[in-house]
Amino acid sequence: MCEWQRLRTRINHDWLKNEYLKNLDGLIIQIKSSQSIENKLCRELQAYLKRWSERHGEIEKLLNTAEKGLSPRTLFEKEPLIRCTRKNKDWLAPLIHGLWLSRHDIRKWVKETETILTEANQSHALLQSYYSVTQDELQILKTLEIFSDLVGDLSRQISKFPGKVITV
Amino acid sequence: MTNLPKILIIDDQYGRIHHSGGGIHPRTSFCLCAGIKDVTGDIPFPETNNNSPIVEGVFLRGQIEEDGYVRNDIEGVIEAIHKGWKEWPRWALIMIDLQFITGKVKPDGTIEGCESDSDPSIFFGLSILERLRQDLELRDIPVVLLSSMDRAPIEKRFADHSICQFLDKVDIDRHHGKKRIANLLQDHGLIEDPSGKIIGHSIPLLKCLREARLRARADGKNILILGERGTGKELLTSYIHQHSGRIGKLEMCFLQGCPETLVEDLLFGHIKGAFSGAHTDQSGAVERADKGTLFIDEFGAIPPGVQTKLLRLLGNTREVQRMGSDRKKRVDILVVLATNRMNLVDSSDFQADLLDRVDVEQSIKLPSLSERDEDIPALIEYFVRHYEAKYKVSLQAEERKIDSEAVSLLINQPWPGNIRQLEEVISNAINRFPRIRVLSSSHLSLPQISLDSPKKNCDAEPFYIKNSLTFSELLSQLDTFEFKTVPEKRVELTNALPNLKLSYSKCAANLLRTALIVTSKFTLENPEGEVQITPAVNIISGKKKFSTSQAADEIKRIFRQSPEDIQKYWLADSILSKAIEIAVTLRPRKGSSSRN
Repeated sequence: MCEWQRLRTRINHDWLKNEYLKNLDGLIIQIKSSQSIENKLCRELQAYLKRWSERHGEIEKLLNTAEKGLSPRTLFEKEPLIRCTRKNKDWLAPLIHGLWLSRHDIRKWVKETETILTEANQSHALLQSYYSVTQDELQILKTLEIFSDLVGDLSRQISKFPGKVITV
Repeated sequence: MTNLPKILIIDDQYGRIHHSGGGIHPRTSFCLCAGIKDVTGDIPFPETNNNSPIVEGVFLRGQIEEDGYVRNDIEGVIEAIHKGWKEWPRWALIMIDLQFITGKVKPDGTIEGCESDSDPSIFFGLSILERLRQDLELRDIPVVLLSSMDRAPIEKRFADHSICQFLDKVDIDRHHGKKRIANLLQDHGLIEDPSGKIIGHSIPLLKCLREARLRARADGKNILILGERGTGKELLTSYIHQHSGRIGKLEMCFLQGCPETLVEDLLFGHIKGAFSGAHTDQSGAVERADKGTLFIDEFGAIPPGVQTKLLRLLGNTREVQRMGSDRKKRVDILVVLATNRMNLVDSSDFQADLLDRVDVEQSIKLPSLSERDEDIPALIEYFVRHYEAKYKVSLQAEERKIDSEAVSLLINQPWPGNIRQLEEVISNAINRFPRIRVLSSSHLSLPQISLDSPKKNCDAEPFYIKNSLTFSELLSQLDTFEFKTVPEKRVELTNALPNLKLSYSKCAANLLRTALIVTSKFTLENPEGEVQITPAVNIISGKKKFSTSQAADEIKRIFRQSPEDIQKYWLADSILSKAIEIAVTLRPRKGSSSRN
C-alpha cells in the first residue's frame, strides 16, 4: 500500500464511509422521525458541520496529490528501481509517467471528484447559513439531505481511484 | 409473535465505545440507516418514531485494550459467537469487518495502527472466518463481509470460505440501508417464519426455510419438496408461495389414491362432452393457479399416463390442455411438487425427462421431527393452546401448564409420523382431559411404536424417561452410566454423578419414610403405627406393584445402593431402620427376587 492509499484509507474508509456519512444519514433519519430539530439534534448538526470545515481540506490534499502518489514514477523511489542511475531516471521516470497518464486519465478523475467536492462545499456553506441565519428547519433538512448525498457521491468517487500503483 | 432476528456485527470501530468525531456514535447512525436495533447495551440507542427496526444487532469489537495498547482477540470472538449460536434467538447471520486496527492508543483515543493491519493476507476478518469454517458447530452460520476496503486482493480466499456476500458500508445509507439488510436476511439469514405459521427455530428448519425463500424467487423453475409424512409440506408450500411474490392464488392438488382419469381432470380440467357426465367446461387446478402457484402433493403417486402430460406443464412452455380439447393454453405458474419418496431417481416409475424437469438434485428437504427435536417444545405449546381454544366452548377446556417431564417424554419419542403425529397426541390429551390445569405425562397416549422403539442417538437419555425404573435400579445405573458426548464433557458430567447419587438416595430415603408413615397401620394395640413396607414401596414406585418379598428386596437394594452418609441417616431414623429390619427379617439372604 503506497502512502497516498494510506491517506485515502484514513479519509475515505475510516472517516467518510464509516463515520461521517453514517452520522449525516443517522441525523436525517432522527430529524425526520422527530419532525423537528430538537436541541440534541441541533448540537449534532453543529458538530458535523464543524467537522466538515475541519477535514474537507484533507480531501482536497488527497486529490491534489493523487497524480503524484499513484504514478508508477513513484516506483523509482523504491527498490529495485531506486538503483537506476540518475541519468536513466531522468528520462525514464517522466516517460513512464506520461505513458501512464495516456492510459489512465487520472486528471479527469481528479477533476470529476473535485467538482463533487466543490458542490459538497457549496452545499455545506448553504447549510451553515440556513443553520446560523434563517433557522428554517425544512430548508436545513432539505440541504442536509443534498449535502449527505454529495458526500456519499464523493466517497464513492474516491473509492474508484486505483487500489495500487499501476505499472504500464 | 416471533422475535426479531438477531445478528452479530464484529467490527473494531463500531464495536468500540470510544469515538472521536463528535455527535452520536457512528454505530448508532449505522444502525438507524440499516434498520438495526442496537441491543449491545454499552451505549444508549435512541427510540425513533418512524424507523421500526427489522433486526436486533449485537456489536463486538473483537479486540482487547490493555495498558494503552490494542490487540485482536480471536478466542474472545469465537467464544462470543458460540454463546449466541447456542441460545435463542441465535445469530441469524454474522457480519465481519475485514481490517482491524491494532497498536498504541493515541492521546485523542484513536489507534496508531500497525503495518500488518493492512496486509490483506492476514486481515483479522479472514482469521475469524477461517476459525468459523473449521469449527463443526459454527460452520452453518451465514457470514457477510461488511467492509469498505478494496476486496479484490482477497476475493478468492473469501469465496473459498462460503461467504454469503460482500457488503460495502457506504451502501448502508438512509436510502437503501434497511432494504439491503432486509434482503440479506431474506437471502442468507437463518430466520423464523415471521407469520408464525411454521413453528420452530432449529437449524435444520431454518436452513430449509432459507432454501425455500431462495427457490421461490427463481421464477419459472419447478420446486420439489422431499419430506417424510407429516413434516408440513403444505405449510412449506404456502411459505414458498408467500415469498414468490406471485399475484395469483395457491392451488393445492392432492392426488394420492385417485384414478388416472380423475388425476388428469383435477389437474387439467375438461371441456363439455369430454366424458360422460362432463356437462360443462371445467378448468383444472393448473388454470386456476395461473399467475400463482400450483402444489401437487404426493407427486410420487402420479400415474405414468399423466406424467407425459405433465412434461409440457413442467417445461419452459408451461402449456395446459383440457381433457377433450385440442387447444393448448399457456399459463404462468410456479409448480411445487412434494413427495415422501426420498429415492425418486432410483425409482423406475418416473420418466427421466420428468425427473430432469423437477430437478431432483435441487429439491428442498424438509427435516423430520426427530432431526429438529429442538422445536418440539414450541410445537407442543402451539398445539396445546390451539386445542384448548378449539375445545374451550364444547368441552370447557381450561388453560394449562405443560409439565416439563411431559415435554421431555415427547422430545424423546421417535415420531415416525412427525408433526402430524405429535399434534394428534396433544389433540387427544386435550380432548380427553379438557379440564385440567397441568398437562403431564399421564395424559399423553403415546403411539405404541414410541414405547417399543425409543429414540436413537440420544445423548444422555434422561433417567425418568425410562419410567419403568425403580429407585434401586436408578441408583444402580448412576454408578455405571456412560455419557455419549465429547471426552472433556464426559469427564465433567461423570464427575457430577456422585452428587446426583447422594441427592437421589436422600430423596429415596425421605420419600420412603413419608410413604411408611402414611401407610402405617394404627391400631389400639399399636397406637404409634405399625410399619408396612409393601404399600409404602408401591407408593414410591408409581405404577409398579410389588409383592411383600419384592418390596423387602427393593428396600434392601435402595439401602445398599445409597452412599455411606445416607445409610447412616437410615439407621439413625426409627421408621427407616424399622423398615430395614423388616426387610432383612423377610429376606435374610443377600439375593433378591425378581420384580416381575
